[in-house]
Amino acid sequence: MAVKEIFGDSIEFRYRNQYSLLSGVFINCKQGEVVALLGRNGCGKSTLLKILFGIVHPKNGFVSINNRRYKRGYMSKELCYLPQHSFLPTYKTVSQMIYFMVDKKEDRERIAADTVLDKVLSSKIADLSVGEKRYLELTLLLARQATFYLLDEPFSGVSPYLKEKIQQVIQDNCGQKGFIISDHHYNSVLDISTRILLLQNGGCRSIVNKKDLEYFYVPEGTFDD
Amino acid sequence: MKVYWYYYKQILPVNLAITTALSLVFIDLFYVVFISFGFFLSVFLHSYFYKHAKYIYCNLGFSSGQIVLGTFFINLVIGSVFIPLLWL
Repeated sequence: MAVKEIFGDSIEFRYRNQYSLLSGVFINCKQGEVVALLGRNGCGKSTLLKILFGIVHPKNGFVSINNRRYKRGYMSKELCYLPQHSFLPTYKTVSQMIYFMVDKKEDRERIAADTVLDKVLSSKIADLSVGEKRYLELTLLLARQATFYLLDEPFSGVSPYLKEKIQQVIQDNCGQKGFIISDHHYNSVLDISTRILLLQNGGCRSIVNKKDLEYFYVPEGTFDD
Repeated sequence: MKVYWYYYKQILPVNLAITTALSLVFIDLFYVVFISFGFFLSVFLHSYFYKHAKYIYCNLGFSSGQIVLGTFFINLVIGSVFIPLLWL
């Protein structure tokens, strides 16, 4: 069976009356990969993920999922996107959202029995902590039949315990799925990534090892033993 | 269908409130307002106050246009069936 792949090629984007944010970006992710997308604030990481997902349209370039081009990647049902901000309605309860977003009964039961979520099943989304919300959102998305997951700052505002749980969930699923993860908590992402990309000056730079990041992204000595 | 119905349940109370308020002035236009102006204004208000809600539908594989169109027809059917009953 052919390995599934998503890629965006020659992606150019600029916000109105602004400098060019992305200029000819190429990014790809295959099934089984965890791609760390790093970069400074405002370099276009979130915009690039939104372009891949299909809710922001680039000036130039295209997105291909399993060798088929899409203007709106999400219509393929092969893509899921975890945005920076919580997208679940605050007035609904956790169990209502599980029922709504998860189709299979066995998946619902599995999620409801999760050690983090079983304590908050009857709580409203508004009453959850930031970490619990992120974990719930990620768990709900992973129950979808999608192959590729675009995670925008999944570790932001999350406690160390839930950070580990999120890392574990990603690793448990990365055999069948592909992940592109963007986050400023680079250590959390680097721990689980199989490949590192640095978004810089409008383009994607491939980073071979962590030490190379010291030239472009993190302070020197960060990865010294 | 579950997705359309979920969205519809969120905008229906707003639509009913707008339609009822306008009907105090234009009583004969209850049906027309319910299926047109009231519906579209409630869609606009929902998208304005719940900006991130669109990610739910996109992650389920639906575009905003599909959701609004599908819900418009549900609203049309419900309006056509139930509103005449109010006049009986």
